[in-house]
Amino acid sequence: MKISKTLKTWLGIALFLVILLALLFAAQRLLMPKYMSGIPEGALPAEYYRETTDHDVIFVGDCEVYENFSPMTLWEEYGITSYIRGGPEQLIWQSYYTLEDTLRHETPKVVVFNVLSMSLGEPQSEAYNRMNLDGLRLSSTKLDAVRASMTEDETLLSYLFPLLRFHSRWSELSKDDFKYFFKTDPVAHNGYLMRIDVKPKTQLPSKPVLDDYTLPAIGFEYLDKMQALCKDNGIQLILIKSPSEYPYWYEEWDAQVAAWAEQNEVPYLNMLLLSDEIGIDMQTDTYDGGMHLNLSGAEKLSTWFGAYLTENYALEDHRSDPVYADVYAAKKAAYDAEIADQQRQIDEYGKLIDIERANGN
Amino acid sequence: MSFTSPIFLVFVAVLVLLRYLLPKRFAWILILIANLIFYAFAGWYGLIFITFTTLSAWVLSRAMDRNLSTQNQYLADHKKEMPREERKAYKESMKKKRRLMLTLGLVLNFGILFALKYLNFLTANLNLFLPETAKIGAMSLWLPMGISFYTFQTMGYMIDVYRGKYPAEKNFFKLATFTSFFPLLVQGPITRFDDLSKTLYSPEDFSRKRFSFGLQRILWGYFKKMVIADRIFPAVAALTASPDVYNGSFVFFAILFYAIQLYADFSGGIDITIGIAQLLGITVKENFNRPFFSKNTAEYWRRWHITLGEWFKDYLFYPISVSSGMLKLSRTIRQKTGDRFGKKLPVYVASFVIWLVTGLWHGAGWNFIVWGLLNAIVIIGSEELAPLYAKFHARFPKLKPTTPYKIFEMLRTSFLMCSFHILDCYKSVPAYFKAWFSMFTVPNLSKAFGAGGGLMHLGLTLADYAVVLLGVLTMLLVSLKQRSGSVREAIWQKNSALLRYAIIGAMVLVILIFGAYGIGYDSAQFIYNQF
Amino acid sequence: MKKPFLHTVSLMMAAMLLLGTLLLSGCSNNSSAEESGSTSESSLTSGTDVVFVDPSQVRPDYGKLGFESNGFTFGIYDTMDDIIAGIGDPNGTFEAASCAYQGNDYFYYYSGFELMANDFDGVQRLTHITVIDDTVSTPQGITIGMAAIDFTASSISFTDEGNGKFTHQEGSCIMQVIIKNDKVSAIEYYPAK
Repeated sequence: MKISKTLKTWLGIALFLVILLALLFAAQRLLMPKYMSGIPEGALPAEYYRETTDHDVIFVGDCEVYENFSPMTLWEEYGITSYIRGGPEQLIWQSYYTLEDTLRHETPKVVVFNVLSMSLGEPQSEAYNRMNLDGLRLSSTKLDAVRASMTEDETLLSYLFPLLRFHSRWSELSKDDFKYFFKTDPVAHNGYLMRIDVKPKTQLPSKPVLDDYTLPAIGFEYLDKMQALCKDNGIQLILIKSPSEYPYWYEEWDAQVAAWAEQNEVPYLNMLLLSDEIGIDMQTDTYDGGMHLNLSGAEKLSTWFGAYLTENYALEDHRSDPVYADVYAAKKAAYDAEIADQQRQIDEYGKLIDIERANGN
Repeated sequence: MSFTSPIFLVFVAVLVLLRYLLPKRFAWILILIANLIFYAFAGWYGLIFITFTTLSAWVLSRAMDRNLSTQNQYLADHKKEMPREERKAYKESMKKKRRLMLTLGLVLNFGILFALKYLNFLTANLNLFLPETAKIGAMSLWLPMGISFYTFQTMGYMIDVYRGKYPAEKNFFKLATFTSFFPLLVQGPITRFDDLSKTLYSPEDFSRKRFSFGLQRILWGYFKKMVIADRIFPAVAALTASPDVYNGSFVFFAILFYAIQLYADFSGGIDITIGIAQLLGITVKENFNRPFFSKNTAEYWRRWHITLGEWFKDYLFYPISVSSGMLKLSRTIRQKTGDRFGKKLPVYVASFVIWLVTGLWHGAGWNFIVWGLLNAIVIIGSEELAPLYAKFHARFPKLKPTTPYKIFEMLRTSFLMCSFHILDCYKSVPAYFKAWFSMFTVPNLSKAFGAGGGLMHLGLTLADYAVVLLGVLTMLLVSLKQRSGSVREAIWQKNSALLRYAIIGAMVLVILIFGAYGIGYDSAQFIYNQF
Repeated sequence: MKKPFLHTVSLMMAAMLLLGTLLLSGCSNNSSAEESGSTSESSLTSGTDVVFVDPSQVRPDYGKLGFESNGFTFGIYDTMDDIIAGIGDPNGTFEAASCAYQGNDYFYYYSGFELMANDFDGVQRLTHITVIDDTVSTPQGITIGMAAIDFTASSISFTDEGNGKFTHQEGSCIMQVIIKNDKVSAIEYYPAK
C-alpha cells in the first residue's frame, strides 16, 4: 500500500508537469506573433522549412534580396531552383547562421549575399532580431545566432522560450492569433515578398557625410566565415550589392568590399553600376520611390541575374524534371494568384489595402 | 541574485532538493553554503563585512556568556564568605564588563552601518555650513547587501545574550547561518535568534502539507510582485518624477498606486521569503498582517513591517524609556507640569527617537527623516487627542461598532499612512508637501481621465490597469478570507490534490503570462534590496 | 534509510557550487557591485532610474541649437506642422518606410537644407536637420565649406569626437559638424539617445 501511494504521488506530479508544460506551450503559441497580416517579414525564416525540393541557389541578406529577386522568374526562364533566406535588416552574422542552418537541410551550388549589411557592426533592434531568428528551428546554429545578435536587454532564455518575450501580447491578441494558432499561411514565394504597386522615384534624401567610412571589422570576419563555409561544402559564394538606391552605398564601402572580394577570389557584383544593363527603370520598377523594386523590377533583375548565373556557373535546368515541374507549377499558381489579388486591390481601392492596414492606416 | 531571476529559481530548487537528500543534521551546513553562494553573487567584497559582524557578535557574546558563568560560579563558590554589598558590587562590576562588551559590539557594527550608509549624507549636509575650501568630498562607498537587516538581526542577538535571554551560540558557523540566512537578507523579516534557531538548526521533516503550503506561498508572492507591483511601478515613477506636471488629483493617484506597489512588492517578497523557508522546513515570522485593515496608526504599525517595529520596541524603545536619564527627565517634568504629562513624556520622547531612527533606517535622506517624524507626530497626536475622540464617541455611541464606521476608520488610516509613504518617491520634501496640498487646491480630475496627458500616458494601458485592479481585488478577497483563518489551510481541508495542482498551475500560468517582466517592462528590483 | 553515497555527492555538489560561484563572482565583481550597492541614498523605489517617457510627452528643448529659415527658428522635436507653417512648404518630400514597418522616416526638402521627421504618438516631429550646401548658414554663422579655423572660432564650443567629428549638445539636441580637408563638410542636428 505504501509503495503505491508514493508512486501515485510521483505519477500525479509527472502528470501535473506534463499538463502544465502543454498549457504553457499552448499559451506560447497563442501569444507569439503570427506575422500573417501586418508584418509578413517575420514569417520568412520559418517558411523555408515547408520546401519539399532542393535549391541550387540560396540568397541571404536583408530586404534588398527578398524584395528585389523573384525565384519564380529564375525558374520560368532558366529552370534554376532558388530560395531567398532573407530577413528585415538581416545582419551579416544572422545571414551567416541562416546559411549554416540552410546547410543542415541541403547543399546548394551557389550562395548570393547582399553586402549592404556590412555597414552594421552591432546588434540594432530587438524587433528585427526576433523576426530574423524566432523562425529558425532550434539548433546549435540558432543559439549561436542568438548570442551574436542579442541587444543589451535580451536573454537567450527568451529565445528558447519565446513566451517570456511575447507574454505581454495578451492584451494585443487579435483574430489572427486564434485563426493561425495551428498553422500559418505562406506569405512569400520562395522567400520573395511580392509588391506589384508602383511609386516612381522622385528625389532621394541627400547622401549624409560620414566621419568614418571604415566598415566594421566584424563584417569581414563573417565574410571570411561565409567563404570558408561555402568552400568546405563546395559552394560558390557571390557577393552582390542589390540595385536599391537608398539607403546609400558609399564608394568608400564599395572599395573595401571589392578589395576583399579580389583578395579572396569571390565575385562581387555592384548592381547599382549595372542598372542600365539590367534595364531597371526607377519610374516603373519600384514601389517605394527607389528603395525597393516591385514585381516588374524584381523580374527584370532576376532575368538578368539568371543569365549571369547560367553563363558563369554550371547550373542545372530542372524544368524537365517531373518532380520539380509539379512543385513549381503549384508555386506558379500561387504566384499568379497573388498578382491577381494585389491587382484586384489596386483596381478596387487604388492601393494595396492589406499593406495599408498593416501600416496602421 | 534577484528574486525574479531564473538563476534564483534554479538555486532554490537545487537547494530544496539537496535539503531532502541530505540527512537533517547537515541541513544547516547546506543552508550556510547556500547563504554564501547567494551573498557571493552580489560581490564577494560584501562578505568581508557580514563576516566581521558575525565574528564580532560571536566573540563578544561568548565572552559575555563566559563572564556570566564565571560570575555565577564565583558567587556559588563564595556564597558563604561574601557579604551582601560585596556580592552586589561584584555583580555590578561583572555586569559593567558585559555591558562594555555589548557596547563594543554595538558601536563597531552600527558604526560600520552608519559609515557606509549615512556618512555621505552627513557630510553633504555639513557642507551646507562649511566654506568652499573646507567642504568634504563624497566618498565612494558601497553598501553590502542586506546590511541594515543583518546588522539589526545580529545586534538583536547580542542584546538578547546580554540580557540573559538565552546562552550565546558556541558554534561560529551555526551563528553565521543565522546572521546570513539568505531569504532574510533582501528585505527581512528581522528575526530573533531564539525564534529562528528552533527550526533553522533542526528543520522539520518533509511533509506534503508544508511543502504544498510553501509552494503556494512562494507563488502568491511572485504573483503580487510580478503581476501587480512591477506593473504599476512605471506609473508611480512617472507621477512622482514631475510633481509640477502631475499635481492635484494626480497626487491622489500617486498615493494610491504607490500604496499598491509598495504593499504588493514588499509583502510579496516576504511571502517568497517565508515560502522558501517553509519549503526547507524552517519557520520564519510574519511581517504583515493585513495592514490596510488597521483602524488607527498605532494598529497599523503593529501590522506593517511588524518585525522592524518590534525590534525598535524591544531594543530601543524600552531601553530609552526606562533609562535612568529618561526617568530623571520625567521626574523633573512631572514636578513642573504635573503627573499626567510627566508620565507621558518618556513615552513621547522615546517615540520621537524611535521614529527618527526608523525613518533613517529606511534611507539616508531628509525625506526619510521627515517621514519618520510625520508618523511620530500622528501617533503622539492621536494619543493626545484620545480624550477628544472619547468624548465624540460617548456622544454617538452607536457609531463606533458599525461596519461603515469601521470601514471609514480603515480608509482614513490607510490614506494617511499611504500619504506618508509616498514621501519616499518625491525628490524633495518641499516638493512632496507642495504636491500633497495641491490635491485639495488644484482641481484637475478631468485632466487625469482626459486624452491629453492623463493616466493613460504613464506607461500603462487600460488593460494594464484592469490587471492591477483585478490583482488588488484578489488580494482583498484573500485578506477578507484570511480573517477566518489561513486560506491554504482551507484549501488543504478540501483534501483534493487536484484542487491544489489546479491552483499552483493556474498561478504559474498567470505569473508567466501576466507578469510585468521582460522587454517592454522595466523590472524593478525589490524595493528594500538596498537595506 | 542511510544513503551515505548520496549525502557525499550532495555535499560535494554544494561545495563545488560554492567554489564555482565565488570564483565566478570574483570575475564579475564590478557589475554585481554596481547592482547591489550604490553611493546615492537608497530610495524605497530603487529600481531603474529610467522613467517612462511617453512619446506623446516628447517636447523640444534645443535651447541655442535652433535652426533658422525664413526668419523662423525651429529645432529638434518641434512639430512639423508648426515648422512648415513657419518656414513655408517644402520643395519636395519623400517617405522612407523602414523594413517590416518599424516606422517611417519623412523627408522634407528645402533650399540648402533637408528635414527629417518621425511619428510620435500620431504627431510628426523633427528628428534630423541636414545642411546640404553653403547657401544657408546656422544661427552661429557656420556654413558648409567654411574653413576649419573659422569654425573653431564660432560662438558655441564643440567637443572633438575624433575623425573630424565635432558635437555640441543642448537638452536632448545634438549639433554635429564634420571637418574634412580642413573644411566644414557636413552640418547636422539630431536628438541625443
